[in-house]
Amino acid sequence: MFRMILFTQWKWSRAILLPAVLGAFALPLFSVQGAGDPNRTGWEARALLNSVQTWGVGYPVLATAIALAIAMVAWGADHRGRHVYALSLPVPRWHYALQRFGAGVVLLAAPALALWLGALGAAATATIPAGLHAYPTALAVRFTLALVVAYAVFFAITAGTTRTAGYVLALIGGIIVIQILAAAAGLEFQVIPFVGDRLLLWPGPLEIFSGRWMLIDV
Amino acid sequence: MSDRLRWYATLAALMLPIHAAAQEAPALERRIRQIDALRREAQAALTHDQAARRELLETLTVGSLVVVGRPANATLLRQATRIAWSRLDSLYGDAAQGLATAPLLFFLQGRPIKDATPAIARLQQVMAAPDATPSDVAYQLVRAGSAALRTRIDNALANWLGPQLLADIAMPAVRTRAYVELVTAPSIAVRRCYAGAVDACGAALGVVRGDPVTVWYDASERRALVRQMRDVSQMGVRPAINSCLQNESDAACLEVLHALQIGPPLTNDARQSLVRLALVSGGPRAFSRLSQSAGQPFERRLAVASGLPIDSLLRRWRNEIIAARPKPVTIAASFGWTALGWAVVFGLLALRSTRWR
Repeated sequence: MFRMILFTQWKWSRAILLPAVLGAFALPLFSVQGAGDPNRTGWEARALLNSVQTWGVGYPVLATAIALAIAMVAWGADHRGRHVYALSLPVPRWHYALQRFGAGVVLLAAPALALWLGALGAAATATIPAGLHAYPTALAVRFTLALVVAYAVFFAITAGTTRTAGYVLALIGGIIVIQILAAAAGLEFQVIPFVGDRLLLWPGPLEIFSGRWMLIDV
Repeated sequence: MSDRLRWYATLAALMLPIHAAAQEAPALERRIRQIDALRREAQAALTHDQAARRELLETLTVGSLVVVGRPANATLLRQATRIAWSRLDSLYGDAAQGLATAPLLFFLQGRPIKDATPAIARLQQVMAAPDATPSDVAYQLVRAGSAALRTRIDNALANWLGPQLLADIAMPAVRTRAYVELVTAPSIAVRRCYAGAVDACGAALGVVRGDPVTVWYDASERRALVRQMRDVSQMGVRPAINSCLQNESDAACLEVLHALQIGPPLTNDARQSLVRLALVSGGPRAFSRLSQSAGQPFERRLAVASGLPIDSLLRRWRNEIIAARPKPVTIAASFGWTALGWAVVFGLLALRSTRWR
């Protein structure tokens, strides 16, 4: 059954996976495009770091975008068919959902692998100034973990009912409204930074997205 | 003209001034009175006009920081002044007390204070956005306070410290940037400092006697540095640049670098981190000692300010910078397991969805 679910999800999501794989492969190569110049010396080390840092924003964004698309596709057909197919299967819901989840995780391996290969290629071709190091495997591991976490978050949201999605949106909107009201009242009460820190700093769920996404670093 | 007519004319000419003088004395007095009256009216109108344009301002004093602003902004300004003074006090120690004689004039952007009286006009202006928070305003006040203190120190120290004197920014970030410089700056002095040579750290920071160019860079680095400046055309250094690059003449390279007065290879972030360390080590009077030792070599000034031998100070600075290495993309196992744990948690939430119930 898992093979069938994986196959159907592959069919639905291959149009997304192809550009995702290309993007993941190309991103590390673009980030070091100026580093292959044989005339490059240590004088440009900081410029190279700045360039890599600028491109580094792309990794978490790409991971989020791919995970969102794959998660939405995983449940798209079931939502459209009002879950009649799933209900007709002789398996409990959690089992069916677990297989959907697992199939999506397997599909995410493609962009993760592409990024690793791209990063290895970029690190091999770039002339890296003294004092700097390339981290292709670490970057790929981080990207993979970010893909899985983002996919799990979006999978959980899309697996729920419209009401659940509404609760999530209401929670986000509520935080923004509280922040606006606090600012209007002249209170030094920073709700969004507080919540952001809880989410983005360890042990928050989105910690994997924060920090430096540097293929080349000190 | 007949003789009789000429005689009448002469008589009239002789009598005219006498007659005029007799007529003008009271007239002049009258006119003077009129002018006085007009002047008083003008003065009254001017005073009335100035009074109409003069705004009611409030003076806030926290520590030695004096800020003048509108009563409408008093709440914001009071909070901001309190924050700003605590920062200025921690940055400059007792030297910050000099701010008592340099009040600041605060207003919100787009609403300048119209009071043109000399006492107000000479104050240093500080502006903030209309939606600024107390922290934003405090940042501007600290900048203005630093600028006021910068005018009281010698040029050598002011130039060495940079445009903001002591920048009100988080030191961990400054030290991290200094670490990147320490690793990447193409300078023999910086590389030796990174390897552990404390005297080289002093040289790379500009705390050096003698010809700094020869201490900072070796011959190949000097030539590479000049290559970066090959588009420079001023100061008549073009022939020396050509000789440096084409004939590989080190003397010519030195001539170019001396003429262009290059700065130390470690930039402002590194120098700020060193001075801040010296001030923390030296206590509240450290900045005063630093600013009062004008004319002495920097190594001596920093030692006096910090109360430490310069070698100890530089060693501590290097240790701090090495410890501030930015966290690279590699992740600790605990972070990896945490990420996977969250993925499992969200996956379980999906399995327990209310759909189908």
